[in-house]
Amino acid sequence: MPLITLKYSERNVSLEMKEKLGYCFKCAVCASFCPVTLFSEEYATRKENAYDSTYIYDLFIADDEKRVDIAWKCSLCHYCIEVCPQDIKPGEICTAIKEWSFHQHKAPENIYKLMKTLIADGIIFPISTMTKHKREKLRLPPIARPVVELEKIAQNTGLKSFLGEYDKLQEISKKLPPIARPVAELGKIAQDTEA
Amino acid sequence: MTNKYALFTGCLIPSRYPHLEALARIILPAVGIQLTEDLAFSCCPDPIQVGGSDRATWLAVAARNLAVAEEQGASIISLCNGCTNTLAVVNNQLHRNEKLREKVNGFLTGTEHSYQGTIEVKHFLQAIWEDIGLDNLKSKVKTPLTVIKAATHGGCHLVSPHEVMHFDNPLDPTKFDKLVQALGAKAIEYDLATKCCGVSLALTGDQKASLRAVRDKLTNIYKNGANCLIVGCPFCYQQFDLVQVRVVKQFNLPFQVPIFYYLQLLGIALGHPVENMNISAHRIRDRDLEAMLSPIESVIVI
Repeated sequence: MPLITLKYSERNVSLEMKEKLGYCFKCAVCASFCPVTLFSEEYATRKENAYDSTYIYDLFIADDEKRVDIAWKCSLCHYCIEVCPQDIKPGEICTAIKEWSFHQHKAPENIYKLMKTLIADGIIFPISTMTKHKREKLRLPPIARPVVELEKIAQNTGLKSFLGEYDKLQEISKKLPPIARPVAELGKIAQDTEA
Repeated sequence: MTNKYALFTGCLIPSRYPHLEALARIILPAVGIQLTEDLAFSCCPDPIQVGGSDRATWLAVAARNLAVAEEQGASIISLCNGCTNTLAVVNNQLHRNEKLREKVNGFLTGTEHSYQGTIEVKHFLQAIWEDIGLDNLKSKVKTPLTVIKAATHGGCHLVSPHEVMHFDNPLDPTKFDKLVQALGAKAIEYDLATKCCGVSLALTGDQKASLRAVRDKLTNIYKNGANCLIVGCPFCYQQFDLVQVRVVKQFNLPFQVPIFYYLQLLGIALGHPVENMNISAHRIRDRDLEAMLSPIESVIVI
């Protein structure tokens, strides 16, 4: 069975986030409990019993973009944490990568929307007219959330100003003109210079 | 230890499954769990996405929720695995780390709340297990659910991380089965019992993986002879009810597995009429099974 061999440049990035990763002796027990490895087509259809075919292997060796993408697949089910004989807590590495990517503006876009909804509404799912109607029929109280206090918390933690900055940068990037280069002319020049 | 609970409904139940909230408000007191008046809670917030994005805000919002109940001298009882997990993990971290507690209380400045670390958080299954107890629960059963052959799905966040959740062994859980057996039902073992319902995979955009999780678990459950699946979390409920409709269609499954939220079965066992358990709100139903659950119907069938 091929064992995980971390390339040192990438290994160091992960080590910065979780020093204990250095104790990993590649037993692959974490991978055998991981729901992403089990159910995601990308991993479930790879060859069995190979540690380099698993979600957690990719999480440790992938470059930044790929690593961020796959870290957000982690449901923090904690099974990798429960079974790791070296107490490395791979799920917590996912969380560290998630948080790093969020603050680097590299997290999935829906996450930023979710954080805004949390602060603005105090509930992360929309309350439809149908929900209100259902609740009235069931004689349930209306949904009221402490939004003033949540805004205060978001101010105190810096989330509010961070999301404001994020929105500003998104606006600017939307206004930038598309990159258009004179490729036809460059091709002609290349032909001419070859000749 | 206080035995007075503030009901923490979370986000998914009040917004999409209010019929489960209505049920909890009736069945929990009926089984002997005393609920306080509603308190001003917000989203817990969720441990996977919010917990992964901004730890400071995640800790602070959860600490505010904990403080709101703590100030009333109440514990928190939750209807959702995700909420239980966030509140229990944050409670644990702030309780044992004074520096972090001070920092997070700093984030609560201007909210009139401050977390002290004297509160307990329980999932409703844990509260029934610990506060009511199996023997006491059995003695309250008026209608034993002998027709039920149940596969239970406790869900990941109910039991892990074990060092904080304390409820059951994450790798070999047995308590949910025992809570079902206490109602007179049979608990069916199946191989994939500890595997994730797959809802988180859908949250992060891997829809296919999420559907495969539901397909594999339901197939395993069906093959082991269960006639229903019991859950204690609204996210798992959503996966196995709403998403099952799609899974059955997409993978052409020749069977369906009806699901119940534990409080529905508990209600029936306590003698409440089946038709009052809001099962009509489910997408996947087995009307024959529902009819057999009602004692009067059973007499007619016989």
